[in-house]
Amino acid sequence: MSQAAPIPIDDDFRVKTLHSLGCLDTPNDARLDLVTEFSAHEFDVPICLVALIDKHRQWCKSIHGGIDKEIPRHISFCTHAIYEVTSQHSFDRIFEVCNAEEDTRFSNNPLVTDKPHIKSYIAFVLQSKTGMNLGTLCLIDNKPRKYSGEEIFSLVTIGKIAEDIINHVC
Amino acid sequence: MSASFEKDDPNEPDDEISSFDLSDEIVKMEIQLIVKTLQRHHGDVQNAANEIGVSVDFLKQRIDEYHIEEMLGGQLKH
Repeated sequence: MSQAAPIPIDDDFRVKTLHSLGCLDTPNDARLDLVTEFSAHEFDVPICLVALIDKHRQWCKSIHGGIDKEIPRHISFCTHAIYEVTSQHSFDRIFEVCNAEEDTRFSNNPLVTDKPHIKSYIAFVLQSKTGMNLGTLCLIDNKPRKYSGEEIFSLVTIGKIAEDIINHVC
Repeated sequence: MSASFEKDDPNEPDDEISSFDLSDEIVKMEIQLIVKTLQRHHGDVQNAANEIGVSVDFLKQRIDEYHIEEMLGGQLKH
């Protein structure tokens, strides 16, 4: 049975912070599109997203690959990431699922059992300047995968660039 | 990590991203991350590598490549 992520206790304030950026439901940003396309090539994954977690939905500011721009929050992997990550240290802001089919939180998730058939997922959690979790830069693959320390270092680096863009451009 | 990137269609308009060089941004961000981590660990390369989750050799390679020891005034503990 797949599980929806618990709602963080500060979620109302987190959502307010996200809304204050004015980023939701805005057109694509060419730089973020460059980041997601570059990341997909660099890490050899079919899907890369910059996803923001609104009160009831996940909305993608940038997508490379085949996944819906908006999905319900209760099936979103990124919702788990923003719940699990509580640190502001860059290297503690990683959430990884190596094999979703073997993870009870996700094994029955429709994104796993149906298209895009997610098997592995890794996210760097994007934060506001005040340290609130806004969403993720995430990599999605349709095969199980464990990322190396060097790959995670690269993801954090690119994630920080995405975070700067989200905080300064939107 | 290679920071090179080529657009699929070189004729595609890119006015909005012409001022955004992703390779430069990646290098700048890597330097910032490494410097800040080393500073938190008072220049201890082993502890910084542990926090980042990479091998000491990998971190030393980046430190040499970006001349980070010079930036920190030669205060690294190898």
